[in-house]
Amino acid sequence: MPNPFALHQSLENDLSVVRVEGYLDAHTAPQFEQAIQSEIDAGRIRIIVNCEKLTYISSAGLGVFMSFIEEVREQGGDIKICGLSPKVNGVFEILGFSSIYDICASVADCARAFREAPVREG
Amino acid sequence: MIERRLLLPLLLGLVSYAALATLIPRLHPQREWDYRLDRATSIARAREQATRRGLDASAWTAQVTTSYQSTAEYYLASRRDDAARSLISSINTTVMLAEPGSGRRTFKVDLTAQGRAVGYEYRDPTEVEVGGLSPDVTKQAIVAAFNELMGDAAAQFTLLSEVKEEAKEDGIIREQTGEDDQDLKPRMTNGVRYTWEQTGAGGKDLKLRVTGLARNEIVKELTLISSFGFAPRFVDELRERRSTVRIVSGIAFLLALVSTLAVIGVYIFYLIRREIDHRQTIALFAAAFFLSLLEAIFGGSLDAGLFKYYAGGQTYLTLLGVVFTILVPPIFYGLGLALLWSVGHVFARRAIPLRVASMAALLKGRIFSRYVAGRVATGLLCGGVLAAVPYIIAASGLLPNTKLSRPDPYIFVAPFRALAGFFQLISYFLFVAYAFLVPLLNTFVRHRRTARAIGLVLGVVMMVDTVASSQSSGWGTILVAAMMMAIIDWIYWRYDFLALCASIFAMNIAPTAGTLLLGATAALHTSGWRLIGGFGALVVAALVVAWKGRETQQVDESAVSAEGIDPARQRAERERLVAEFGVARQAQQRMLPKEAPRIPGYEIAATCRPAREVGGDLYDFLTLPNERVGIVVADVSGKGVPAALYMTLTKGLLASLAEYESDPSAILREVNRHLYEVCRRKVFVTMILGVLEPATGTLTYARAGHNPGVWRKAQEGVHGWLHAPGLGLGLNKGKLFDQTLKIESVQVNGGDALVFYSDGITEAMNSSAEEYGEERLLASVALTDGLSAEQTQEAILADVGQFLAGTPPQDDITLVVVRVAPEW
Repeated sequence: MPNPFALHQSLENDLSVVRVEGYLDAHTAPQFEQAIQSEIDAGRIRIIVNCEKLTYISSAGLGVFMSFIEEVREQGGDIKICGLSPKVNGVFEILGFSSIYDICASVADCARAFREAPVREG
Repeated sequence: MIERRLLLPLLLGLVSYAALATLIPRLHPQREWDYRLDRATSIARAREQATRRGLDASAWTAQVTTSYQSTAEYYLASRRDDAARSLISSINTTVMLAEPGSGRRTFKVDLTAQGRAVGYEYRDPTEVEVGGLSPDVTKQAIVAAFNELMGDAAAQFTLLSEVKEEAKEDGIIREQTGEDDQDLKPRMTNGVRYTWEQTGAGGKDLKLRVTGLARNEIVKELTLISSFGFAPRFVDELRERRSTVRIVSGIAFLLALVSTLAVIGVYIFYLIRREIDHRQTIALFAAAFFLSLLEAIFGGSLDAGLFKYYAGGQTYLTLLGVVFTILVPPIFYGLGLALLWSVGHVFARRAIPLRVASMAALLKGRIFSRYVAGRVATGLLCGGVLAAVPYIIAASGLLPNTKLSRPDPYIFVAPFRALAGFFQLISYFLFVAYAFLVPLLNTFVRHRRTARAIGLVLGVVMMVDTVASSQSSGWGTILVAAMMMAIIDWIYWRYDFLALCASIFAMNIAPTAGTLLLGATAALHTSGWRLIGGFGALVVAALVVAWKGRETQQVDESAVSAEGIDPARQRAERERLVAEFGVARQAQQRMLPKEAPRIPGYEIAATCRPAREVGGDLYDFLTLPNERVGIVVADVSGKGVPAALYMTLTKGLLASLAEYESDPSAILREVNRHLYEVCRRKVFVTMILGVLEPATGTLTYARAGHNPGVWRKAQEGVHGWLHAPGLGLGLNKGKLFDQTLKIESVQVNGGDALVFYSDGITEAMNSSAEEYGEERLLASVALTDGLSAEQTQEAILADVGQFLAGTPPQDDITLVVVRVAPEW
């Protein structure tokens, strides 16, 4: 596969950054789900999902995004997304994700958004 | 209900035919031609001349032709008080009388437009030389005949020369009768040729001569010859007038030559690549040949051929010539049209399938479908606009000296005048070429608009040549050509190719009817009214079929395709699976509504084509309280069996909720809650649910993460998106979903279309990995104004299919079209 699935988790200041690469589909979605879950379990509820190298996202992958958002927000945190390709952005938009999530251009933009409004008002 | 699309053509037709009815009597070239004959009166005049020459030709057969002389037309129009007026005319008539039986004697008479005999020629194949005759008697005979023929004009002429015919070296008199007749013609040397020339108070800028031949003391022929080339002033004047047009004509000729060669080349290329079905070309050739043959026969070819036969000495060779005269033009016409059509269709089918769809339907014999008849009616009505353009420009005085191109004057003497009026096809070439030029250009030029502009300019160049008349100044002609081309372009892109062909057919009718009605005899008037009546009946018939005819049936092209062959031991298992999938597919298809609900004032068409045996797409119609109708398009994420199972679940949920709920957001919230319990985010469903209140035209809809619907506002020619916010179903327990979901209402108007679809359409991917996308969808929808719901659906699917160009769809394709009936 030209663009295998990969996950990188890192901390930037107090923000968790989860970088998703390659194909996020039914096979790889559990790993992604686990990654987010591990952040929350560690009490890091200000999460940035960096999708710059995400080439494909299937319905199962989309489901992961929805899995945690309410839980995270109830605890006062948020999940913000950045680096969406136009195609994935289109899918997010049609599905209604753009009205739920803060979608930013870059990790830095997400970080700024966290500083200005840590929790998005539903 | 007549489609709204017919209203504009009806209006344009009424206005333009009314304009033609007013303008034709004032401006028709017949006013200048002053043609006072018809077939019967021409023959009568010729017989009268024969009687005067001592021939009883009452039982002889008669052929009549006309020849149109543009130079004479211009001369007469520009020199109103010229003395030569009574002797020359823009339309000359020649009648050939021939004795029945073999070895026929013939008597040919030339008549002016006003019916004055200005020449005749007598031939007797059995004539033998008579010796020892008096030259004085011969001269007396011919002078007497000259005086009689020319009447009061004889005084204007003086005898110029008197030449005794001499035998040539081989003893054959070449001058007498043409070249190939040594077998028939006895060697006669006692003929004398006399020539008179007009002197004194004659025509100013032309030279008139009469030449006569007498032999055996009998006058054989007298012919009036008008030569405009003798007057330099007149020649310059003509040249100057025509110079602009001539340049354009030259370009047009070059273009025609180059494109002919190109068409032949491209045809062979595609034939080798098997993209052209040669049987279709043959069928087209046969059709075009037959039509052209009818045109040739009604339009004077038969007369012309028989003329050649009699004038050429009635040999087998000349008979062959007759066959040639009649058959060769239809052969070339048929061949040209068939090649051009076949090649053009390859491009058009790809680039603009909608423009040629109705013609394809017509060729498949669907004459009585509303769609085809509607386009024919549209074309027939819009043809009036094309016909009216030159008349309106000429009447406006916009450019001085803008004159009309001539209708074919042969109609005056045609044996079946009203029929001949219907068969004037030659100009089709240009329009067929134009209709296929743009898709052709489109394969080289990226933007449709650029291709269209180039096509338009080339079209004008070709058109100038067609509409150019002898009297028009260059710019007037170019203006007429440009305006007509603009209308042709409009008809083609607003309607389609069939409408264009029908309008070209109709274009000639009114001027031809004008020719007949402005003619001099009651017989011509009758034919004129018959032509108008026949055309009117055709228009009415097309309108009636467009109104009451059959709907075009949609052909379901989706089919299960078997894949490659497996090893033998797996085959049985595979077959079982295939069979089970077949059952599952049928069961799923049966779950879709059998037919769209019938709502007065609305039409609905829907289709769902799974990419695999079973799919996750769904459309449904819900009968809601208060006579409201729910329209649902949904898409389960993923494909195949799992998706199909969730689709079934969704359908069941909807059906049960519709029992008591009619608020789209309430329905969607409920569906979401249920789906979330089952799906747990792994699978979700996107859905658009519109609730239509038929009485008011209000559509209230909610969108749960589904592709936004297209709302085509036909009256304004714009579109709106139905993209109220909302999350996909089954992703969230309820709070976020409920917060996000908003309902919206829109007010649809007559002619509007609502298009709901699944991402199988917008994400359809061709072999170059391009997606069909929303832009193409919008463009495709924009072309469907006035089409029925089914036609709209067909057109969109055809466009997607053409885009995919054979690549199998990767995802289920669902399409629901609601068309609001036009308002009255």
